[in-house]
Amino acid sequence: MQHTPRPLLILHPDPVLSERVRRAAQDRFHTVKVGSWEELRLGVAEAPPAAVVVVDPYFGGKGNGGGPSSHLRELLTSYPSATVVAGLDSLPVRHRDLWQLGEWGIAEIIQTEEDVTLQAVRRRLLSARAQPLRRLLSHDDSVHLTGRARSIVEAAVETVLVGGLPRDLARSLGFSPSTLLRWCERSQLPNPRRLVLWMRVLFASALLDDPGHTVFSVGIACGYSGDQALRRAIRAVLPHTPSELREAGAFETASREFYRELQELRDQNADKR
Amino acid sequence: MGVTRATRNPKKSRRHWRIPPPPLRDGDAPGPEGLLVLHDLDGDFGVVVWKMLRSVLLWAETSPSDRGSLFSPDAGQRRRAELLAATHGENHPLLEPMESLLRMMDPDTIPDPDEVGVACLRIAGWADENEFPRTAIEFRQAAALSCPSNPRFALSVMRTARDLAQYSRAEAWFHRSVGLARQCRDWDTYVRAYLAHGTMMRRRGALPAARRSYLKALRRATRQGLSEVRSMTLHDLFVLEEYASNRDAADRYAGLAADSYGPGHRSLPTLAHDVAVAWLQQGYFENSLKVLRSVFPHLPEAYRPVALGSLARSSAGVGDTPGFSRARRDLSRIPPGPGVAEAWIEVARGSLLLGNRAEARDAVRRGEDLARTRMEGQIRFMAQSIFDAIEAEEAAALRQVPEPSEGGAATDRSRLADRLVVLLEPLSSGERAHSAARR
Repeated sequence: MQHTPRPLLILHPDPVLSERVRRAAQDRFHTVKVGSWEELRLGVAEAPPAAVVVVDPYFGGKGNGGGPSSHLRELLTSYPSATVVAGLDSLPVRHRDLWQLGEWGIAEIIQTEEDVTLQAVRRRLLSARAQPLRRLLSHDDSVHLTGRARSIVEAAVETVLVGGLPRDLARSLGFSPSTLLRWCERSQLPNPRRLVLWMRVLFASALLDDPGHTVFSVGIACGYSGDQALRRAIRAVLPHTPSELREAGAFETASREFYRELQELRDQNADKR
Repeated sequence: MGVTRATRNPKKSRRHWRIPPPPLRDGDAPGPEGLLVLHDLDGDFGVVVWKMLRSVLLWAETSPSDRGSLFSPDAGQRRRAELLAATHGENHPLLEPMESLLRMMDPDTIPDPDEVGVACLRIAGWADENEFPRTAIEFRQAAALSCPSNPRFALSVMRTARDLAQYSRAEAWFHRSVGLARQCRDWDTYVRAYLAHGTMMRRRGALPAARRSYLKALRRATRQGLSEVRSMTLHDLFVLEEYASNRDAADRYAGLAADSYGPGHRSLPTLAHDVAVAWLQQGYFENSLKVLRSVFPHLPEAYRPVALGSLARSSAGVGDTPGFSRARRDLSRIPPGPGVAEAWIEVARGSLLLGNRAEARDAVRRGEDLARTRMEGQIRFMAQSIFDAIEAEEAAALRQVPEPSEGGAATDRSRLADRLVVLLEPLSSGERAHSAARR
């Protein structure tokens, strides 16, 4: 598995904000400034799942109070798994726009007039991480995750996002690897290694569903050497090829199988004893 | 003298309990942090409250050494101006807690995390009163993050998440609250956390899991000599066993709870009411009526409508027609509100017991109308079943279980009824003394 640098794409006319974002993210991201929605779209198509996009939601608009740009909406429709952060002045009159951005799938907002320190911007970028995948995962309520299980799964999402391994997952929760293994058993989750593998496959599946991605670009974006390596990784947990997955609705199929595995691990009588 | 468990130095404890980080967001919530506040609060005011929440979260999750440079020097002034503009200069109840939070943005002051937490809880309390549950949970969570070692704040998030049916989030905060309470040996919060968990499991129908939590709470409360929470636990165990139809166990816990509360305790009326209603549902009208009559003057306002309905039904059950009419008349003077529809259903059942089908039809219609306007589906369902019973002339079937005249259980029940009446007596004398003093 290759470690690809995490790109941070910026489409924002405010040079002060762009510089602030660049400085806040310099140790974690490789920042790329783009000049148009089209350029941004191309960048997102090639970006790995851990990429973050910072945009001005009104970019290119006339600023006549017509709401966020339709280009942003198209971007979020084409790439629902992309992590997009909006940078805007959160004036009280923008109540509707803020809510609308949330509904469109914006992962976080940088308040340009408030988040003026590096710590503030850094925290907004961290808060946005993996938000789209978390949202996708939460839509399936066929299996009730216990509180502990949910904490572990959320930590696994973040670990995989930065190319982490099971031992990194244990560290992020403050456990030793053996404690994590025990907690996974008690929480009726797969073992940490398999859980991390599942998260990788779910990430890849989310990208496969984005109409703008090819199977090859998904493989590269997820840190594999190409589509063959991606196929092998998916085969480890699912009886499908990437193309079959895509045809059947990749994320839906993969998450259904993931939840089925959780169902099999679940002790139905846990609450009844 | 040996060192007791309660006074042992926590640093010397060999066991090291791990507390995993709780999930901070509901999975279905729209992306940006705290945006659900805008779902509750419309317009400019909503945006100002949302921004304040985000500032608190930002402050809470930044290490104390970096907090000084977190906000721009004029951020507090700007926020204050926005707040005043959004509230139109009126004396809004949130101005005071917001003002406490604004100190956090002042570069020259170092606010106390507890102060920030308490201000957040006050905003959450206001949100609860105004039925903005999402705002309430967001601010409770902000309070818990501001004071990350305070188990009480964690427990308040757990309770709110439970009431919003966000069970996995509630469970994560429950574990956190228990872990923190254990670390700082706050056994009162520890027991309350298990009580809250037991209630959550009971509501979800996982009765054995609920029983486990309640028994754990009972053991700890007994061991640490926490009489208040011990009584609450016994009360909850009574409710659970009643729910599980373990009648003998329920009566036993009710008796233990009554003794544990002791004469004149402020929670005793609620217990007595719960016991009386349970007996009423089982058809033990005489004991139920005895307790209801005794407890009625001490019940909180919110319980009055349901208690009047229960009084009417139990009076009818023992053939006390004047008592039934009195309760019915008092109920008709109460304006529509929580519990009133349910009370009319009880009146309808009482009317059927007295064989008065016309009055039963009238009462059930009133109950159903109220239930419709208040969208109380379960009451409407009950109303429909009574309508069906009237139509099918099956009133006799509603008479339920006849009160047993002999037998140990009946004697125990009667003894418990007498005991409850005696324990409630100090409340009456206290109220009489209070009103005499006022006169």
